[in-house]
Amino acid sequence: MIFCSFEYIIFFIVIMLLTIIIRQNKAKKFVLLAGSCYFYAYWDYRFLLLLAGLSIANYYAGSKIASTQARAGKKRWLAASIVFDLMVLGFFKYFNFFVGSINSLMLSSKIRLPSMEIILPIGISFMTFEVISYTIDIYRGKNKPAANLLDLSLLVTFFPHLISGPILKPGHFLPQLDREITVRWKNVEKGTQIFLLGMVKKVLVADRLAFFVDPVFKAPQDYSSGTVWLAVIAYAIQIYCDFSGYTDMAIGSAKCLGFEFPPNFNMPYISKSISEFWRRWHISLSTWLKDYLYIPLGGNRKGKLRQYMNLMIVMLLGGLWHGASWNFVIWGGLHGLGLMIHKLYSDYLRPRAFSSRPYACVSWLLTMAFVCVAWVFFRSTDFAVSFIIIKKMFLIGGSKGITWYATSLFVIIPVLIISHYFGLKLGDPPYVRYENTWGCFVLFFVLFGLFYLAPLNSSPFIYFQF
Amino acid sequence: MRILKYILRIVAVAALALLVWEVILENSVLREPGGVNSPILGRIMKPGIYLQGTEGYCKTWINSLGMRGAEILPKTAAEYRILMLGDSHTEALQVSDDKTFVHLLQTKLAQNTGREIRTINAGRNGASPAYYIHLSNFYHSFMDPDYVMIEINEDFTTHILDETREFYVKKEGAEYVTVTNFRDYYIWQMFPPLKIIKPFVAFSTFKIALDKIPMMLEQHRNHRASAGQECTPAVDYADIIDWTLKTLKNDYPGMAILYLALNKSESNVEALLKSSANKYGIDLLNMRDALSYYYQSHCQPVDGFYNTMPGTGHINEIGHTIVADCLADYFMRKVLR
Repeated sequence: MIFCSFEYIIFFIVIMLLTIIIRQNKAKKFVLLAGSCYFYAYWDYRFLLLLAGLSIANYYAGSKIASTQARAGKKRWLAASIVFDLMVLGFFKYFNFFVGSINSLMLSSKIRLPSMEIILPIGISFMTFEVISYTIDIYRGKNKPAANLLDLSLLVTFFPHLISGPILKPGHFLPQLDREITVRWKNVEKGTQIFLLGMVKKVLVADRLAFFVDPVFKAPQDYSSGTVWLAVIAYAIQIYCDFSGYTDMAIGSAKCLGFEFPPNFNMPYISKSISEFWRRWHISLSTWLKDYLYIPLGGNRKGKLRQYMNLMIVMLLGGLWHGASWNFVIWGGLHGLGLMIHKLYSDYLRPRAFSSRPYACVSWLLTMAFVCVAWVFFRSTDFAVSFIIIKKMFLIGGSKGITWYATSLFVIIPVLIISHYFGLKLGDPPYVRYENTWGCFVLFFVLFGLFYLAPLNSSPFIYFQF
Repeated sequence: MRILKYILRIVAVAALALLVWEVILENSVLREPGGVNSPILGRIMKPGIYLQGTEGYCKTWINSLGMRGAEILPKTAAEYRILMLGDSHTEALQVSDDKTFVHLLQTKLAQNTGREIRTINAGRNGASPAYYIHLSNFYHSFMDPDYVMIEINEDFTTHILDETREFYVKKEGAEYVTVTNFRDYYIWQMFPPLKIIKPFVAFSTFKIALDKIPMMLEQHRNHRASAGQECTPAVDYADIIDWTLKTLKNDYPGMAILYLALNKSESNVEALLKSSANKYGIDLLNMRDALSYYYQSHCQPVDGFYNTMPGTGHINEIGHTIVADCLADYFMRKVLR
């Protein structure tokens, strides 16, 4: 079930009505859990067992960490839970990847490791990161274990964030379950507007750009250098609108039910450095990586060289988290390299006087070019395609091919620039009240617009694969 | 009373939003002018309006017969009239009036021969040879052509048998016959009470909705259908192709076929078409070589547009120029010698 489907709207209305009708808070939580299970089972009911396994194992480990007095004992329980979570992730997501990689390394020998037909459960990367942070936070004393298994199960399965995040921190979400779950009109108003904004991004921008991006990335050798550049830029916009659109829909859905999710994006394409980009892009992931990987590795506390190395390790693993493919590792590695270079530049080379507008423009341009080139590896199906695109982009081996100046891109870029400009000026987006004639008009206008302008063939959310 | 007032306000606001969208759609490429029912031609585009295509960037006038271009005037004594029958590739709503192969052919022939030559674009979206066979008397009496060029493409065999079209062919006993099917909107067949909004169909907002909802429902059904669906059995098209060409030759003695082959390789249908054309002495102008040669030598596709996808859909300005060149060459060599 995807957010921008008729089924989801019906499902959501039913859940919301039940949450309004039912008075007891525990019963409301059961409704949300049952609804979340139905939401997940709509894709494949067999993996409900996986959700249950992750919840039970981590609930048990969390309780043990909290109740064990000795530090070593706590550590053992923490290690056991992390190993379990990573084994689940490793088996479902990376088993065949590693087997394939080992087999290709041993091409000369006749030994072949067998691969397995494993279905990748949707959202497994997000779920495992959430449960890992749950036990680590208890170990660190940052938060208490969940009051009961129901609460932890909701942290793992709560349908708005179940498939593609944002990655919820237990310290942020669990206290919300302690309060009365109440559907308030004010939240519904705000939530539906956030949801609709996400839908506009996904349906009107990302899905339209997919018609341009997909064919060019499928056969880049057929297209001219200019077209390939445009397709890469279009993909940068597509993935942003696709993923941030999904997040908006998740945040909006949660808001309607009275839950607050943290923001996951903050206009990443206005960044003037790679470091800034990662403060604005997929914030819940970058925060997770910082809190649970970069800082434990030593962060910036063990000297400059170690800090650069830590940045690289974090980004390589962050790349691998996205998908079991060397393309994602390269993508992560490129960002790691970018972060290292930027850190090095900021630490030693950056002249203090350079803070003028042209300097900011050049910084932005360089950052955007770098991010776009890195997206090539993220989007391409394999290395061969990535290298064809890179060669085309940098005019290696000719620039000839089909010239395609996709209209959708030239319509969307100005819209994006204007909306970013107003976004910067306004800060928080202005919300309308549906009681007002103007607010009601805006709601109908957007709903009709979505109906008239949405393409018939909607693409699946890009981040569903992770 | 308060609730009623509230509901009325919501309805009024929704209507206002719809009105704003009507203005937007009427002035954008999504404009949908709807159609009118003609007793002879079936459902045709609304006459007397400017139409904007969703592919390419062109605006064209729709005449009283629902065809693109100016009104068709009576033939003068010196005029040599070529009637171009075909589907949306001939109609070519994607390119401007002076860039269609029909118009380019007229210009080229007039320049090369010095004669008064007029080409009539009778292209019609979704048309198949069933249309040209069924309407042959109308075309002869109303347009009085000296020569008829019929454009068909790879899909013509499926279109000719498609029972959802205005005209199609079906087998009655041992014979094929053309059948008319002047249908209403699909959604009205599904939900007859919705006919109440019939007077509003002239508005883009309603027209798009009536076109889009059935497509969405269809897509939803397809999406939910299991993957293991039965395959449709392969149809033997030899008979229908043979009958089509024989009937066309009979109805339009002075005619040739323009075969717009956009696929890379020759299909079974194409081989059958060649053989039947040969059998009935019909000139078959196959565009495959000319179109693919251009793509191979210039790396630019002859079909598709910036707002769709190059290499798919209807032929673009390049394609129209190539087709016009080939047609002009054919007419100069074989017809107007």
